[in-house]
Amino acid sequence: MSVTNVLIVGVGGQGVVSAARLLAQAVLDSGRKVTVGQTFGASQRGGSVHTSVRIGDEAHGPLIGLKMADFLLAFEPYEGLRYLQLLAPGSKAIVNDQPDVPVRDQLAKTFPPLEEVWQILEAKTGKLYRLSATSLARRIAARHGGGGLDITNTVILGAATAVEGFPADMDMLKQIFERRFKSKVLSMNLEALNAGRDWILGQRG
Amino acid sequence: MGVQVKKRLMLGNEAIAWGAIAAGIDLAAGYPGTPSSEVIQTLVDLAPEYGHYVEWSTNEKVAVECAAAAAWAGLRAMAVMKHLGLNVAADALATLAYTGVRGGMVILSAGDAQCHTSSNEQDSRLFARFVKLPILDPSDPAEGFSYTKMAFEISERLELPVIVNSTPRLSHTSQAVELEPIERQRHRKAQFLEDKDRWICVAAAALRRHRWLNSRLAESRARLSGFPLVRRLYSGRRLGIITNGVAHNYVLEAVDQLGLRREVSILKIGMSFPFPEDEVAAFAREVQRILVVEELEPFVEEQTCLTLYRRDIHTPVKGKGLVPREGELTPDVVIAAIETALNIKRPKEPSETVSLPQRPLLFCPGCPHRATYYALRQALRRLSKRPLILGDIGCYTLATSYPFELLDTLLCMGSGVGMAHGFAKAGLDRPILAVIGDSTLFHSGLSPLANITYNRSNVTVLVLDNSYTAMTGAQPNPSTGYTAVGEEVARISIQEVAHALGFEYIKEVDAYDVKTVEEALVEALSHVGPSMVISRRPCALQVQRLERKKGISLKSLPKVDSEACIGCRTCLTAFGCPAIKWDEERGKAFIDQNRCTACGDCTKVCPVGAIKAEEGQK
Repeated sequence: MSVTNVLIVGVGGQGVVSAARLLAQAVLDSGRKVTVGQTFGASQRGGSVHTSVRIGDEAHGPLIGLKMADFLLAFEPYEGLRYLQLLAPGSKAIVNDQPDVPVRDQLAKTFPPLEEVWQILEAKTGKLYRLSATSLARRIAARHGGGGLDITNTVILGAATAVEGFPADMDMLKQIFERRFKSKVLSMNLEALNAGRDWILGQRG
Repeated sequence: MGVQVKKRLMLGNEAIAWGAIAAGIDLAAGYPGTPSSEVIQTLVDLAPEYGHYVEWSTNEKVAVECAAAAAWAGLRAMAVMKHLGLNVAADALATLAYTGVRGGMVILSAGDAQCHTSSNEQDSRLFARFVKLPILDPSDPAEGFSYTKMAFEISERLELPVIVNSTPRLSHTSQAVELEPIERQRHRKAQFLEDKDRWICVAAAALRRHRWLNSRLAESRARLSGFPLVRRLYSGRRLGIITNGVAHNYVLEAVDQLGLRREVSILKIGMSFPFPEDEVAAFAREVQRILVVEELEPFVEEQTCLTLYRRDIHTPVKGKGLVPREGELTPDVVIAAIETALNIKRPKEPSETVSLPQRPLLFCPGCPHRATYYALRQALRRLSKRPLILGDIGCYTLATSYPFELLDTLLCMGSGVGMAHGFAKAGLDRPILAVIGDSTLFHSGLSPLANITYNRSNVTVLVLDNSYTAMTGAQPNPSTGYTAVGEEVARISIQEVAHALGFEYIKEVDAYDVKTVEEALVEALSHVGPSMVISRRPCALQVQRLERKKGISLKSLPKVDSEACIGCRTCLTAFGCPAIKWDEERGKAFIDQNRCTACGDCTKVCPVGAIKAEEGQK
């Protein structure tokens, strides 16, 4: 069946929903059917946010079933772990290495150590990329004078384009960004896309 | 002038709004409620171009009455709400079925299987049958568009209001929707045609209208021939699957995943009431057994059984039992149901899950509710008895959980105030405090407030007035100062309302002024007789949005003086602003500059004054 399932997860405020919409628009413009499912409500309040981008004529509903996600883009490592049961055998995951543990859980130590997250994800994915997306994004934003803007999501989207089989390539995404953003914000985002892609290419050696 | 719109990615809710536009809608009214809110918002955005009237009404019943009046006057009108809003509007809807309408009237109800953001997951199809109104069940955004458009035509064909039934998985799913060329239509002119037998629905006239309604429903299927309300797919005989609404998508995928296209037939029901008995009977005759896959109640299943029984058809029917009755369906649940129905045995690999605590939902940085609840907690310490605290629906409901854990009850819109009176009359031996927001107060808080003063109960009402219907995306309401389309209007003062209703102790305070809020609450809770504290401050998120729009840069932010910080964590555990973080190694709090909104409240919370506002901040 020619359906590709991309699961994008993170914490409210990290731009998960925006990233899914940008990716979906890029896929749509390339002439394929796309379905985006998203959870609203917690997006501004620090809750878990997950969206599904499903590509292919036979993807009907918005939900990704158990063991059906081909790609995982996790903007936060614990959120990546939370959806483990959805990952297909051999899935490819790009996971931001910057954790965001709620203060309540930090004080009560209810989240497992980060090292455990990496061990599990390493074992359960076909290929795991641990990307320092937040620090890359901060450096780029600072260079462009956009200190307060979080472009972690753009770095991860750029990285994904360099992963084999990902349903959108750099040109497609760039076109969407060029339509959506202007001047300073655009050049900052384009640099973030490139930085993500280059990091993955560097990993491949 | 024809306006061509190309195929574009849109939310189900946007597609529904475009369906109304394509039908030439004249008037739309709604009350915000997840997952329905983007429908009215889209109609607001499109109003300048298409010229319809659109409003946020004060509640769903008012919205239905507003739309019904327009439809009585011959216009095409829509009322928009979440499923629970149907209950509020029920009084109007149940008799509206008797009177019927002249212009097309559509009620969009967005349900919430799984209770994602609701206090129940009632099935709107049962409601539709209860009030005897037709209901359409689109399954994806494209049908959101086409069914909504069709609903207006059906409404005029039957002279009845028609309910369109959405779910989170339709309302909040995005797909490319092809909008057929949409003509900008000339809007109809309102005209009231006198007809006392119809528009004064009471006694003998009402009985006559009930007979009219029943015969109209009985002949509805014949009147609607030609409308694509039932769809057949595949022609296998081993299993006939009847689907309805979003469940249809999961069935399509499950059939493909199991490779069963040759084994099964699918009958998709697009209008579940009145029920397509002929089509279901014909389908049942062609298959060996039937599985009904639908979310929530066995609505289609029971009507299928009834249809087959009446027509002496003996095809076995399965449904609930294999398909859960609570929560939303998922592809995996549907796959398992079909496997069981066909007795397919597959080795099951255990699926791996990790148990990670749910993230707490917190008030946003700068949220005035946090300041009010902090003050309330301080006030409680000064009272000899802890009051019973009744919650209500809105952002302020988050005080049920970490870190405040203050609310004792939550039922439905406006219930906090209504039940506060009841607890007082029941003789509960504690002070009684109801909390309610501005939008909820105008929605369904006014009558219970009047009941408190009329029937005299010793109740304190705390109004958390943030000037917006914030939980659903900061829609305007009577406390805001402008309407849905941005027209400036006078704010309705809650203080003056309380005064007019006869509240004895009334105090309006600035939510950020935590000491004054605390004093006011202590006084109000100590007062014998109806009392009210109104804690005001606009929603911080909305203030931030408006400032960004105007290009105002952030004010200077508070900082934690790490020399002075004693690591007591009061700012984290008693206040809980997501912008305040904990540095484990140093044992000190610090402020995340990217999330702080410079409200400055935390400076008032730190017991040693270690959080300091920078110069230049007010």
